[in-house]
Amino acid sequence: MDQVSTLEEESLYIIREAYHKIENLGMLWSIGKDSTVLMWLTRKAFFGHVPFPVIHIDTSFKIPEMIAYRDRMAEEWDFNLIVGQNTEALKEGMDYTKGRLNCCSALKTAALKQVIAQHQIDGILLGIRHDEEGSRSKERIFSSRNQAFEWDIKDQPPEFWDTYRTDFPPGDHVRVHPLLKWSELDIWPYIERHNIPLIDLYFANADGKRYRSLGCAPCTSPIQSHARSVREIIEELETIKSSERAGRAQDQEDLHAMEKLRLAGYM
Amino acid sequence: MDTNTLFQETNASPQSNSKETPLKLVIVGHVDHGKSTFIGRMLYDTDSIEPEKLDKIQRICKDQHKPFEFAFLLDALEEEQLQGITIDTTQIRFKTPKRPFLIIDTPGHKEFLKNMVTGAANASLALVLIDALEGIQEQSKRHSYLLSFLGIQHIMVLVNKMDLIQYEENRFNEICEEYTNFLSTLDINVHQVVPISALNGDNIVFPSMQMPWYTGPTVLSFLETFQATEPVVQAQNFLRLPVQDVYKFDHRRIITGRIENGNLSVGDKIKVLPLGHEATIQSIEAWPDSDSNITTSATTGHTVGITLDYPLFIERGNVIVDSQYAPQPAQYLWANLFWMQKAPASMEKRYKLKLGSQEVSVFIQEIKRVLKTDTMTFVSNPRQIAQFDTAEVLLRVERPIIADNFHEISRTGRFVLVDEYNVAGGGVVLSTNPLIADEIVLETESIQLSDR
Ligand SMILES: Nc1nc2c(ncn2[C@@H]2O[C@H](COP(=O)(O)OP(=O)(O)O)[C@@H](O)[C@H]2O)c(=O)[nH]1
Repeated sequence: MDQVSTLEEESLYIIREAYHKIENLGMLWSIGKDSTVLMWLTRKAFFGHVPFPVIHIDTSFKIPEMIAYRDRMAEEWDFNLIVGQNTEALKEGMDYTKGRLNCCSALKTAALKQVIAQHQIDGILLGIRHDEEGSRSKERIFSSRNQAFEWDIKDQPPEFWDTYRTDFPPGDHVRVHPLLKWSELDIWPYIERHNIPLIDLYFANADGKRYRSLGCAPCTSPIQSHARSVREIIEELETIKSSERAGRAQDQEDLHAMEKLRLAGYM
Repeated sequence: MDTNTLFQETNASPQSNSKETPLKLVIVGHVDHGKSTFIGRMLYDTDSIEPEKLDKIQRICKDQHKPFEFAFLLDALEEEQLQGITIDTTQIRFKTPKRPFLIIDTPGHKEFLKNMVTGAANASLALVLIDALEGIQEQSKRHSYLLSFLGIQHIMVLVNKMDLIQYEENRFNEICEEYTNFLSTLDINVHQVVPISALNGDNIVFPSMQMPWYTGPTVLSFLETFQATEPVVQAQNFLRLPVQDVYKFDHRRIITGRIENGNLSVGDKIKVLPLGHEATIQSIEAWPDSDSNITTSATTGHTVGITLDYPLFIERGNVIVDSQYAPQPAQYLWANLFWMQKAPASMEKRYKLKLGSQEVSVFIQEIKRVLKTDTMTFVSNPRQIAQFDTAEVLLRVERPIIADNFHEISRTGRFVLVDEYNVAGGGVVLSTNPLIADEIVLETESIQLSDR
């Protein structure tokens, strides 16, 4: 088995493990390439079905194409889509001008908390990867959060020999990360191999720009690129040195911005 | 920065094939022996550090009024950087024109040993760092022992901080001898011992000008050519397919699981343990329909969905095996147990044993002897197993399970023990005892259909 197939097999195993162990499972879909791969793997794990709700957190500031794409895919792939939005914070005028970290906490973390409470979800599948940034590199595949949604990064369970911690005190909520061991350069060849449909924003437009990572319009910027196909993206990534999330402004807000956000429940 | 500019052309370039599986290296060693510095140096000298990251670290170091700290590349957490310690395991990728690598950094503090285990368990080669000045310390030994426990057989030893002992050959030889003597008791292969200075970059990517007496390879050139001996696939016929779940999303009743050992093909006669009912594999299911490359047979490592020709009662925790080579379910296991939890392992307590998808209540019936992993000394007839020690134990499971001798079929020969909600220890099976006749309490359920 090659690298990508080995990762795929492991991810399928993890997704099925989560489905068996977690009663009210949900999946977070950001519309980006990673969570779209996660969606594909989920359908593969359940032979074409998506047997749990798919949650999208809509900050209302997403790049508009993302929302159109989301609704089209929900219909085409036939899953139960739950859109979460922190309408209260939006009413009070929350946006990035109030501070990027505040904005992420309110419109993403708090919105996710609301959806989880409302739908009594006790575990979610997320498409984060170790190689994305520092605090994610410290994650476990099965990672629990206490009732307050906090992540105890200093006391994480051991995870070895493909056994995960799947027993939790009541009230805990579990994050499951089937793509944790994939890198950006595993994701793209997998997309190529299975011809997984992706949003156009990843491919270079007429102005020679494309997004390498997707987020909210005010805090995400495209990179200079002429890569118009998955193959060209792979070739580009093999020579590029800057980091994937360089175009994500919230990461640059503070030296430990991502860690601070994630300790409090950010994805 | 480097005096050895001659060798600059070995710098990383993106030619290696992204489809190649990276060589997974775990870096272990006593605290402060230089793990993080070594990794940082390796990345820096192969030109593998993203400019934003270098920039960010420079900013952090400036904030803390410190000289540039390579260790911050991996010690990404704020607490790790403030305290200058590694708390949790991390991994970082880099590649050279020869091959891709995945480096797994692990903490050297005893308190964070479970994080070290998490990181090390996936590696194919371990690099043990030893401080030339301090010599072999408690965690140098304990880590090496745990590596062998986790099943990692290949070790490279790096004697670091050679600059602090004036690049002296004699001291290097002393450490080599002491350490290889110790390792030879553990059934571990030491492939190479290299004298290095992580701080100055000696013998990591560039050969050292300071140690002409050392004629072996640099760390990188060793790693670039290292070939792990493929684990011999033993017991090829002995199919082990622990049932992970049974799905009934449509008209099909699909039994899923990962093949932990052996092969299966459509038409094979199988047995479902522990009850022992037989059936024939009717199909291997896959999605999307075009994904037909494994639809008539599958092998070790594949996560499959199969259907049977007969609607047997099957549930998670059953194990599907070849009908001709079915093992005996076991009620007693002799095992080597490594204890990670603070509260000691006790013979009075009931734990949960997890072996693949099998989960069963278990008692420690007997503790034969304990190995204290800090001093590597044995204690006989102990009553309990303290944190971080290992012991040879007899386990009695409440329901018969399918377990293999770890040396024969490793993936179904290892397990974890769970205490309430936490993974408290890990173990490898040394031998299994079949049921003792008068203790057989097999469920007498008749064969029935199960729909999820
Ligand atoms: N003189 C010298 N100091 C070193 C060398 N390697 C690491 N150090 C120092 O040893 C200390 C501990 O190193 P670190 O990499 O944090 O060790 P870790 O705890 O094993 O990760 C730091 O102050 C390093 O600068 C070396 O080769 N020579």
